[in-house]
Amino acid sequence: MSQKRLLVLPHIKVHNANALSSPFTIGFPAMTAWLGFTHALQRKLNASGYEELELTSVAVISHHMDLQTYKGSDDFVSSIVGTGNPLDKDGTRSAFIEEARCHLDVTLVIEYDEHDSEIFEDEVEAFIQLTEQHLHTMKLAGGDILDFNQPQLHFVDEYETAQIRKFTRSLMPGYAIIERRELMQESMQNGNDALAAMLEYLQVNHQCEQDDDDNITWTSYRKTAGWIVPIATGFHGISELSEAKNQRDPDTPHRFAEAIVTLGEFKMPYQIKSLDDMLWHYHTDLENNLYLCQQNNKI
Amino acid sequence: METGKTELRRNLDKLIKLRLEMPPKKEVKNGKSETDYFKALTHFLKKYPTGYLPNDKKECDSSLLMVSTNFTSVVSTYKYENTFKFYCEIEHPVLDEIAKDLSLSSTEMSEIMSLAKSFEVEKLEAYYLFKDNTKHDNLNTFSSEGLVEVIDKIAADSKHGTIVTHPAKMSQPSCKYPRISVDDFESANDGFIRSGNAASYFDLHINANKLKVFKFLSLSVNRLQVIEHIKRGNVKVISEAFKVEIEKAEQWVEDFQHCITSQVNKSHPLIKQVYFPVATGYHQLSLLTPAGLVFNLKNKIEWINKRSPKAYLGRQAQINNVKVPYSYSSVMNLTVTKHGGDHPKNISGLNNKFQSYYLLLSSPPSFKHSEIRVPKKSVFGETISPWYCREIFYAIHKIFQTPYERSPIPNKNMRKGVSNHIQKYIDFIINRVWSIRLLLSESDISISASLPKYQQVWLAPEHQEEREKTDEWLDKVVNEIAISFIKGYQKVLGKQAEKLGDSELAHIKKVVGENKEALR
Repeated sequence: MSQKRLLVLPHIKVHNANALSSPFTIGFPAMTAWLGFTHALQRKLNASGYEELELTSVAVISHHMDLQTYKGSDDFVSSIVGTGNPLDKDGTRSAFIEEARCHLDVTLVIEYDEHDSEIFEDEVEAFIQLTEQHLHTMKLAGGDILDFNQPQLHFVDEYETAQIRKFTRSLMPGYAIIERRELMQESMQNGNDALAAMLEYLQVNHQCEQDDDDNITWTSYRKTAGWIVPIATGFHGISELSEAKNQRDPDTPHRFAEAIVTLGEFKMPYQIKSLDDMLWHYHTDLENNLYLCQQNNKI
Repeated sequence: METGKTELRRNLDKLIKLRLEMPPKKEVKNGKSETDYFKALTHFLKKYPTGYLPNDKKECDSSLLMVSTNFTSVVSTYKYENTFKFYCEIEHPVLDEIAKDLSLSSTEMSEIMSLAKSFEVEKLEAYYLFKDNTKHDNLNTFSSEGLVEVIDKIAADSKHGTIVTHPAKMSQPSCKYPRISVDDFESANDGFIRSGNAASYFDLHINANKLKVFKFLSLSVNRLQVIEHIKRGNVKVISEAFKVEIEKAEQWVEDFQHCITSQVNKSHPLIKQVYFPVATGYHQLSLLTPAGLVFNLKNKIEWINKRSPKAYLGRQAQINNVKVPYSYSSVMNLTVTKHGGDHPKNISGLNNKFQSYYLLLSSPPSFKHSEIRVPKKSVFGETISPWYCREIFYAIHKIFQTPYERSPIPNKNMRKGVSNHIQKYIDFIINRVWSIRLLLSESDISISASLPKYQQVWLAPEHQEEREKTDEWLDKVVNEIAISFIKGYQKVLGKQAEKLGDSELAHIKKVVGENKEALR
């Protein structure tokens, strides 16, 4: 299908979103949070009369992020600005786990599939209103949705460069998160373990040169161009599926898992040539115990 | 405590005073003499332990010097990477400072280093553990009876703990469950940080006052941790290392079994549990922290930022503006976090050992820059200063200078390299332009009438419609960006800048032109 059907939720302002998306990273919420939200919205819309509607993938465009960390003027590292809530039942301060938060302004571009029901022909306005109503009741990445612009429906032909350009420009100013797992794989192929592979791309290298007049110039560079960041993109099951005491839902298969992290890149949407380059969907590889969010265009 | 001296120097002074009736002296200028630290160090370091643990005071003395650090303050935890032994092992440049502190010549330092290298590293942690808080001069735990008593207690205490790989208390300090240990993950080149794709360490869930169990199980004997010897039932190794009968070692191995096998696959209401859609519905995942990986990451970051010889020398060179023939690296924008507040021992063995860890920043670039000003006469030079892009110009200059081609923009690859750098410059400009547009739309500031008309259209929010519908202003923008790139290059590189001709300008214009729509 060359025509992409897109539900755009522009400029969602999220307050106190979870910025601790894995034990290795701080900042932009995990991809699982964005896809989790999209999936929750789908369930709500399915329950409101759009049973056939499927929200298949999502692109996340960050317009602004305000991370709640503190860095003193002489500090090399930041520390988390915690709130110490909630208190224990007796009013004393509970055992304290630092909780990182951030405020966000994001646009979500959600690809949907109507499964031939053509439900939107005559009821676009009603659908938009319904979506708005649901958004008001939802949380996003653990944070509160304070505000958003009116949702829009777009139809973009994947083979029409002009249409894609026009659409991606409408997402400016912003940065879309895309997966750069291939960088990690390349580094691991060269013998690095996963941690070293990640650091290889995140570290800044400093080198100096001396000119003919003995002036020394220091320059800093990273291994690769682009705004490369670590990003949590799913989970790795570490135990077999089985029942466990205290699991929230006894009717759903349960297992213990850990967050997985790989590299991503924030790119301005005008650099995106195909919408599938920024759209993410769920994918499971149960043979390898992987629960993933990955790009529509596989790397 | 004396300040200003390294721990190594303080310990050496103490030993000279305690052990040597006639401290070695060497003559210096004007007939004066001072302590000959080379002779003293050689004297003490030659008596390294022959067994796993020191047999007598002389062997303790060499161990003490080996675990001494280069710090002037007291360090209460053992970390091999801070020890004199480690510096000698990797011939760390910090040894020059130590040599200076002890007035050692480079030949003398080399001799000391080779003595240190012949010292078995795994004996140090054992020495540090069993000396515990005992003052060096009152050591008695290395005697057989004392040692057995200590290990008996450790073995008995181990029944209160469980070996884990994903400690629940790193999710929330009140979580007592689950207690799971999984270490048979397969490595795969899937591009993910996950268990199996990097070395991990074991952890121990146990009461804070019984953490000696973790330290004991972490000791290395014959290049294998004690926990592994116990798992494999290597009683002979244990009996030889700690100088006890086989029966005693067998009893210890049995005592420790409980902490290895007492896993509990129970989740906890305080553990984050998420649903993940799968083909058949959902799976419910209780999320845990792979502590071994988290602290391995810390180790790696500290090596890059602090401990590696390159980081040490590189930073010094940059501060003193001295040329060095290699590059050094740093991992920036780190956030430090810790579990257990002032009592990391309440969380787990590893958490107590490492105390804190780092989080890597995952943050998008911003369009809000504090230094952004709305231009008055021209956006080029005022808002888009070439100095912000000097790294780009230095990099492109390197390509221009490549000697095997006469033309500054030569073969295919070179051209691609140049195009990439021009693209980075355009990306920078697009970011700044949007910053100005945002600033104008979010404040009372209005666009200056002194700006050229095409720049007013380019920047001001009120011209958005014109931007969409017309092209004349955009052609000028493309042209001006190409010119500003060349001017910026010449400004940053000064006299060294290569002369660029029409063909180069045409190439730059072409690359900028490819971004025409993005600049709209």
